[in-house]
Amino acid sequence: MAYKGRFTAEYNTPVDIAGLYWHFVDIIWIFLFPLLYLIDRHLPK
Amino acid sequence: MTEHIDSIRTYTLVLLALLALTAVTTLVAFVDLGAFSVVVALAIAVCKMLLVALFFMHVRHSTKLTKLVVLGGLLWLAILLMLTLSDFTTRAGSACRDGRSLLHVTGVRIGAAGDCGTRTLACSVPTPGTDGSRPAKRVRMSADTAD
Repeated sequence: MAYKGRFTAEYNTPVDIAGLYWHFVDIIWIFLFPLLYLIDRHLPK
Repeated sequence: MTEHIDSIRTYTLVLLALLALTAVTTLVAFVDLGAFSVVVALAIAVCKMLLVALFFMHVRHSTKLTKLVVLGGLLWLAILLMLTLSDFTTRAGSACRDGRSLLHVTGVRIGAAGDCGTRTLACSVPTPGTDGSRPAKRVRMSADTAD
């Protein structure tokens, strides 16, 4: 869409916001991954 | 808002660091560190969160106001987690209703973890006295459940 001129160097706020939301979810999963899948992994099954 | 564009090299380095930390946290999960396992996992997670927030979310180049808002949000989240945990860890029977949960929070190793059947109450948590006094530890169990 950037090639089509939809977003430019002057107007890119939606891309910015989408990126922020993406990394917000990213941070949540950074914590969820060890808490859900890695804790107690060293314990005998 | 001052526009500051990091180089692709910077982003690549951060990405590699995040991948490396993911590998480290996965490998360290298979090593028995006792109660320290949770601490290590969460410490690595905090490092990764900082990398993502500072670089990918551009907090590093943001105004002081933005940084203040971020800190305020984290502080508020910490307050909520503290209050929830203070309830959860002091709740009666929480030790044996879900042994794994207490293990997660405190690192206290409880006998048959996760087994809340008949064997569960033979756990290593000190049983309370029969005089009705509260047990010394944070875990509170009613006297009739202890065998």
